[in-house]
Amino acid sequence: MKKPRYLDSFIKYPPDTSFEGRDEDEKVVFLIRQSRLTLFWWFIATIIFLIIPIFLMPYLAKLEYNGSFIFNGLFILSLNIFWYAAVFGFAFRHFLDWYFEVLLVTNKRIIDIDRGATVISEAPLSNIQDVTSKITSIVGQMFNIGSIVVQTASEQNNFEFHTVDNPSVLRDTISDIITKRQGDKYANI
Amino acid sequence: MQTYNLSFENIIDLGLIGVRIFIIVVMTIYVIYTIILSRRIKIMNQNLKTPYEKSFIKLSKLHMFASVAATAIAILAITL
Repeated sequence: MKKPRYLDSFIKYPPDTSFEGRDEDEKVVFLIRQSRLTLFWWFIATIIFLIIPIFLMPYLAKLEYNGSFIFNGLFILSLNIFWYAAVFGFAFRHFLDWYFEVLLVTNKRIIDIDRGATVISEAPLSNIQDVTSKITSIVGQMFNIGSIVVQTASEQNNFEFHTVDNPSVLRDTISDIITKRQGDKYANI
Repeated sequence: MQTYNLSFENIIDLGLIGVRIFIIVVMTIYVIYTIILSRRIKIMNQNLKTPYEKSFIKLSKLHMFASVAATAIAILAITL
């Protein structure tokens, strides 16, 4: 059996995943995150930050003034713990921002969880009028990364989700589920 | 009235004490940040429930503990 990949940027029927306000008969069909390539720069920055104390701390430990050390061993130890805690905090926060910034497509609605789950907007699938995919930058064209814009019947509530992998595939997949949902609705008329 | 001679060495000594206090102030501010981050993780987990919920909470507590420990050791180091 294939192991679920919770850290993927596109998950179909994500297991054990839910959101606040989910109806009992509502299923999460897709979970879309930004491309994992967006993690690249902070990953590199984290590695650099982890290396810095190896060179900096021995220098600080040797600093002397009037024949005595400026920072004693205990203070250097606290600086080391603090530095690594701060680097961990930096990496952790960026990872959480990536992990929790998702576009959820359920069998009833589309939900955009943004800015570390502090800004959440949603629209029922029946209100969605148009789904557009865009690849604008050169980097995007190289790695097939772009944006998805979901236009709703409401003038103000458009969903824009940037730096996603395979935007045209995602657009098609979202369109299919919306068409199916809206088709089911009109089939009863 | 008693007066103190503010020599160059005294200024350097005061500067060094200032640097140590500044580092401890930064560490204390960081402890506050770790508390805010752990609160934020609770909100995130509440809004989007995933299998890593407990791991994130444990990591945030570990992060908070490490920053508190660093601050406590630094205070101990300058008082000794």
